[in-house]
Amino acid sequence: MSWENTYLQFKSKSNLDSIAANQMRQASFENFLSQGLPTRKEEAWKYTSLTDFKAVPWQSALLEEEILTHDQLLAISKNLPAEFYNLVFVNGSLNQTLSDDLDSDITLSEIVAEDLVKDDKHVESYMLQLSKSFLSKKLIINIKSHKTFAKPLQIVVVQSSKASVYVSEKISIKVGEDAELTLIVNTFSFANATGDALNMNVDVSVANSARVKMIQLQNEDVQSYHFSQCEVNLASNAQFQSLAMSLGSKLTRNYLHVNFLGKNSFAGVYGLTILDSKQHVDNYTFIQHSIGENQSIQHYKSILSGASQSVFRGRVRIEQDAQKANSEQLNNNLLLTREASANSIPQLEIYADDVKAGHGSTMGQLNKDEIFYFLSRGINQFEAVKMLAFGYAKELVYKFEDQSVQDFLMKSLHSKLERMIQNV
Amino acid sequence: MLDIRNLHAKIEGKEILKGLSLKVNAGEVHAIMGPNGSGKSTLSKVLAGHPAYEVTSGEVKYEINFTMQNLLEFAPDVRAKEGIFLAFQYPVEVPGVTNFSFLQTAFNSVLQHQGSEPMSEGEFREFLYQKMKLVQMKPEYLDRAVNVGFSGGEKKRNEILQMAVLSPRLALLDETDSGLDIDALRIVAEGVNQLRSKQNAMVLVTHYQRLLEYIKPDFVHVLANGKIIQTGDASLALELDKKGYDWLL
Repeated sequence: MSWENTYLQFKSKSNLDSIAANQMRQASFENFLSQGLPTRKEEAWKYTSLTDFKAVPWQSALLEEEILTHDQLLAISKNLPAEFYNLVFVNGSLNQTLSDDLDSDITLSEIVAEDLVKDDKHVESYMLQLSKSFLSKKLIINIKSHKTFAKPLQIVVVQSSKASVYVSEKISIKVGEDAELTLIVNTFSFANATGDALNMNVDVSVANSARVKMIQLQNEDVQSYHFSQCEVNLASNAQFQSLAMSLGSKLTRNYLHVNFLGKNSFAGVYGLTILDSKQHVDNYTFIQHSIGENQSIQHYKSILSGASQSVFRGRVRIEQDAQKANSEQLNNNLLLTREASANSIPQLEIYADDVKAGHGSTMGQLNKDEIFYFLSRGINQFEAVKMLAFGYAKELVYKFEDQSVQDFLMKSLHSKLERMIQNV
Repeated sequence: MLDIRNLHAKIEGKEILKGLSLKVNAGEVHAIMGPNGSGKSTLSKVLAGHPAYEVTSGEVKYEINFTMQNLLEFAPDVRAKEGIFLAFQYPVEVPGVTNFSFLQTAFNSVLQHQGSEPMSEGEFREFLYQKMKLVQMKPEYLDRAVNVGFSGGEKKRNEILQMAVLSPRLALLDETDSGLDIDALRIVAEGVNQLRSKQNAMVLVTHYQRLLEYIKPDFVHVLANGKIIQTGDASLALELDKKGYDWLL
């Protein structure tokens, strides 16, 4: 099936009312067709190949809810702790049975023309145009000024199809002055022969003195494809902290753009990539200090086994007038097998003179002396590697103080490491 | 419980042990002394199963289930579970793993090997507090990463704590006295002395007689050029302290 057919299928299944939006969507789709998907000749896609993704005959998601099996329901409900406020989307539709009642802060609405405004020059335009072509609804989270959203908000996005389904999702987050939100976007899918594809578009607007924590927990089936483009705009005195925790999928590409538009704001941008077999994760971050007197810290870590690959491209741009910007970047990679590989590409563009900007990256194996120390205390190799890998990873989970969030992430971390280290 | 015969071992192609023989019975404390580079540390590492060392000939028998078995056939973690403990000369720092979870995992691994139920976190913590008194360690050390940011003395005390927790049948203490001031030495030695019993044995590898003032050995051996060249009682250590090693070489 070609993308044209997929698009026709999408249009016939979705109730797309707005003529203006339809026109914009059509324009996005034509844009997408004319530029195609990127190849590795493009610098930004040098280490990530979409050849396999291109070969899949993608289908558009069904509008009606797919019926979930008992086991699938059980698997989903295990991901819904009572300490969280949970919203569950299955194949792009809100599942009301599994979800908590919609709060007044959260609305689900039709895509309008403004959501699809062209953005040709965007570095991630390939995936953005594809995303826009297939968007019909968006989830809006709007936290009013001085309000703290009562619990961590978890949005669970589940793909469950018998054949390759492609879905675009959009989440728009606005956090008002002095308001606070902890958000977990948990994506997973159930196995099928050819995998599913999810293309997420998230924009986050953080007002003065607001505090936002956002976790993207990617735990999809190893046949799946995951793309995300996330735009974060920070006003003054804002605190933003993110964690891209990539455990699943065959191929993941996360693009994250953080832009400082005020002063005295902080962005802590973290990533934890834990892969085995032939999994591939590409994190592309773009931290833009448009205004000075802001601080950004990036720390991405990966643990790689099998023949897995991780890519970290950390772009930092400090504009000419952004004096007293402070930016740090660190990428650590732990390779458990010879076949695993990591690419680390720091990209610093500094146009101001009174700034602090640092970067570093490491590649390494587990320390043999550390392993022998464990063995000499009666701890077997499997357990030793697991504890060391866990110790290596948990630092980034601890950046999130909320106990329920920590516990939730630790559980995912444990089960992935448990599965993967048995095969090392 | 330990019978080493004509042991040869090398590291990175270089032969270090050149026909070492030693017999250790339950309840005994042996001190191994010798000049630098004589192979003292190699012996304890070979017994613990360090992968960098290769045994080229000779045999090491160790009592497991009341029969003398070939120790060299067992993986390092199995040796530890069977009661062999090496107190490291340079304890390894392990960032990211807390002392508590390290100790608990080690302890429960040994329990499981013996066919016992693992101890719960609460029970183990209580058990641990008792053992920590032995080496005068404060509870806050449990939540810190293993040996990370510990002083030399704290690291050595931590080794003795691990030993107290695992209660080995054969403890190999590799230069446990090195880098300790007199107070730390006394604490460590007292800890070791309290762990002495008729059922277990200890082999102390040391450079100086100093440690032996606190831990009284039954036998003192001189190791030189990969072999034991002299064996005596505690008085031999005093003699070595006065005269050095030259008269034996």
